[in-house]
Amino acid sequence: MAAEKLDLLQGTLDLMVLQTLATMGPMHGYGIARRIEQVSADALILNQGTIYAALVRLQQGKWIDAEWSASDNNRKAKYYSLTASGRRRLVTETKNWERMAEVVRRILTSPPGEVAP
Amino acid sequence: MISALSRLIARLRAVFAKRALDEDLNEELAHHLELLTKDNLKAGMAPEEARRQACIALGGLEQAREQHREARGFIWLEQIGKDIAFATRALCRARGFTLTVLAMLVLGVGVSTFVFNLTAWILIFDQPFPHPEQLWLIGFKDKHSASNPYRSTMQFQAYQEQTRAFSEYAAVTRDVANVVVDGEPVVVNLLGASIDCFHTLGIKPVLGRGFLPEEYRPGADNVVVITDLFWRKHFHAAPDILGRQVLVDQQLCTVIGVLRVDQPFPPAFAGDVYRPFIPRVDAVNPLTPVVFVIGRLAPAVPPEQARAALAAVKLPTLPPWATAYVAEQEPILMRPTDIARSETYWVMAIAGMLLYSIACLNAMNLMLVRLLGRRQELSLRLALGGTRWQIARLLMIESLGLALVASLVVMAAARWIFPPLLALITGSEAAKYVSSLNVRTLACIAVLTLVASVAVALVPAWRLMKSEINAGLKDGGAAAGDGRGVARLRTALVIFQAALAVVLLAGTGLMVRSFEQLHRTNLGFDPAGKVKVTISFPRGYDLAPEARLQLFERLQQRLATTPGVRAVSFGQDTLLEGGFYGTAQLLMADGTYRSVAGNFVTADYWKTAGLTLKKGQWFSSKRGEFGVVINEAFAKARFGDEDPIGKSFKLLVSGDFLQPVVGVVGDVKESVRSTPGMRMYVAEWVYPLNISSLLLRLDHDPGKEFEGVVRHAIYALDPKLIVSQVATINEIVGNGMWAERQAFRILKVLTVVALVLAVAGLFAVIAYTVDSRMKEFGVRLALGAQPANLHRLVMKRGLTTAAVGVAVGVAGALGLTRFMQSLLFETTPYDPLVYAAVAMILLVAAVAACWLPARRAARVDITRLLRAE
Repeated sequence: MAAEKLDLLQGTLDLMVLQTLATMGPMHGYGIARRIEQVSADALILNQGTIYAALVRLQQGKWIDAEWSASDNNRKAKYYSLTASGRRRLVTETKNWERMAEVVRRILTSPPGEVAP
Repeated sequence: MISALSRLIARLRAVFAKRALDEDLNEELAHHLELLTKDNLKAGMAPEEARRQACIALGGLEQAREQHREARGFIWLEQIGKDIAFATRALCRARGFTLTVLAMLVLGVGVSTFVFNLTAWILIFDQPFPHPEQLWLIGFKDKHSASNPYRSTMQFQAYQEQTRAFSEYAAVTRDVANVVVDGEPVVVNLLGASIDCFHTLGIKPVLGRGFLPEEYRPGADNVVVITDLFWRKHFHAAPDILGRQVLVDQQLCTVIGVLRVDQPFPPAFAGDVYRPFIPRVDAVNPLTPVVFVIGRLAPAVPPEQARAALAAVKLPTLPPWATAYVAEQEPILMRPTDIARSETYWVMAIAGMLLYSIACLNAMNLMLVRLLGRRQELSLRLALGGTRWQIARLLMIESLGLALVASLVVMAAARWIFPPLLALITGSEAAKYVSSLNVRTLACIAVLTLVASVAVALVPAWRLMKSEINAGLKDGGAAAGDGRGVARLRTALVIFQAALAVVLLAGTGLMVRSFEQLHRTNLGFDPAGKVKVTISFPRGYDLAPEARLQLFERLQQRLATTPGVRAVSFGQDTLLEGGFYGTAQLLMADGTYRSVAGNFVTADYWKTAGLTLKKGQWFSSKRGEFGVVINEAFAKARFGDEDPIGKSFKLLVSGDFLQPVVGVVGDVKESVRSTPGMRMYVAEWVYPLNISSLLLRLDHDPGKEFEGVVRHAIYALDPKLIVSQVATINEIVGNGMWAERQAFRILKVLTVVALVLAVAGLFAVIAYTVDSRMKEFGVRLALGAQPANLHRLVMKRGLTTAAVGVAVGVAGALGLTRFMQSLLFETTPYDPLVYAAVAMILLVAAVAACWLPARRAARVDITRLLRAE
């Protein structure tokens, strides 16, 4: 058994979906879910159903577009793609995330006494 | 910010595109599941297991859907939408219930909105004049009357010159005048408006303009402002009205403005045509013309200080009689609406609220019945996991929906039915042209319906909270909204309704008594068949005393030939107050002076008027032969027990005045409410200057056409004369009771409606009780009870309920009818006869309401009941 799986952090799923679409181009819901699982090397507990809530949220924010078209196995599927504003949001959100991660890291690694009063 | 807004809009939209979105999602999820299962199969799982694992990975289909809905829309909004749809369906199914409750709400809200429309202006909003709290009507009090709402022009001028307590004044003179429009003469109320009048009252013509300062100069004042109603009636609302000319008292005047249709006025300030008023004191009688004065209090001056300032004002030197007259008077400040009787409006407002409460109680009661009928459904909902709050919310939505429909109906009524009804009730034609559907009415409707719907939903909801959950599932058992408690509650509501109806009934009953009393009141003469004709003279029509006398003699002869007329007399004034009685100061036995009314009339007056000669004789018709007739009040006050015949007395009227008393007549009242004061009658030729009234005696009150006959006869004699009044004494008496009549009319209608509602409520409760006790009655019958026993049982229950209601209502009425005291004529608000009658009426109505259910109980069919088991 590998290390214990991680719970998904609040608000991070939207970011992952955006990033996935940015790198992979238009995808359907299942594809996005699979991709996130694969990239995370199954280290995340991903309730695949929650993907759809994230997708509708992003869609209402006009960050992604959705379109019904035929899938690989010749079946109708809904394909999601990044919009221009979604791309911009991805950039800012990624920056925010990195800053946040950096802050958390700094706090966690600071040795006792180093922080000025 | 913008994206937040667009997201909000998207979410709202999602609420309404629910079905399409759900279908989309279902398809997506199915696709997802399919792919997932396929992948699992590829990984070597058994088909069954592959699908199971797929479902687990997805985290449950239903959960996924729920999350999706939550993310995309507003769950609670969807829920309410569902509730509304459900409530609508339920209400449409229970059509009888829905229509009845709607009728209750429409009636309750409609009637009280209407009454509100009628009374709000007077009661709550006081007057829509700028800073109404600063406005005071200046009047005076003296020994005879505690409030006279007018002053003389001389006093008005003195106030303007000598006090700074008031920053500005609105003053008007009132006249009846002939106005000729396109060759047609019309008798109008002509008001002279002082220079600040329109400004003080915030009056701005809607067409044209008000008067300019330069128009307050003799010769420049030939301009008029007319009311909207006058414009509609006599100019057919012609848009080119400004600049048109009319003849006012033989003077050509230009119309310069038209007032708003709903222009509010203090009562004395309302007229048809307004003209500039240039104050001018009459040379002969310095106390005329009379003006109505409203002053605007200067900032930071308390009313009492202003009143003192008015009292300290010095008048020019007056003749001795006028000095004595004025010395008795003390200026007072009144609210500008004091002339109107606000009690009438309070009575109407209270009656409206009572009816509203009755209607609400009735609706509440109906809701409770419905709750009883639905208890199995509601219990089932509770058992299936519905919360009480959800059910309460459903009830709330139902009643709000009903209220919404009711308010729409009332709004339609306000738009189309209120104006003609208002015109009918207030007798003001202008009301027809005023839209009742204004912001105030809308706010009133909104508040009343909201309160009603909350009240109507609250009681059943409260019952629901207290009830047992599963009892309703058992047939016949107590259920959600259990039977016993609800029945008690409903009885309480019915008692309350009956009590309110009793209060209204008592109010109306007292009015009936008052009117009865009024008809029976002794005026001191028989009013039947007497017609009073009042003549006024246009400006510039001045007659020497002798010429005036001759004119009236000619009028007398002319009118005496009118068919049906038995006798004609004339004088300064005739029966009942209307014009100006001369007042003099009488030297009493103890050396003090007291006011006495003097009336200069023809020698046959006492016969025409039907006065009763008590002692001596009437003065002779011979010119130059002096003689005074006094009334009993005069004789008693001045001469005590002595015989006044042949005695003389001293008066302070432009010098001393001594005349022998030749007769004593019975007292007559000047108005229905007044008590007779001291009065003397002197021959008309002694002082013809103020002669203005004729009295006609017929065998009985003439028909409507008589007025036209008289007007025509006078017109034929002298077309310049203004006939300001042709009315029977009975009409004048009736007009004096106008406020009471109006209140009475409204009260009557409200009472009938209230009685019907209360009885219907009682009927509903008794009928339901009988229905739910059918089985018990069957058992009683089987055990040997007679049908008559059952009948009596039901009747007793209904009548007990009604009797308790009557008792509560009488107690309430005794407290509330005090408000009506001043409307009642020689009737105490505690009149036992009225209360007895009211109790009887309600109990008889209750018997009628219980009769049918009682009969139903007595005819219970045991076999059928058993079969149903």
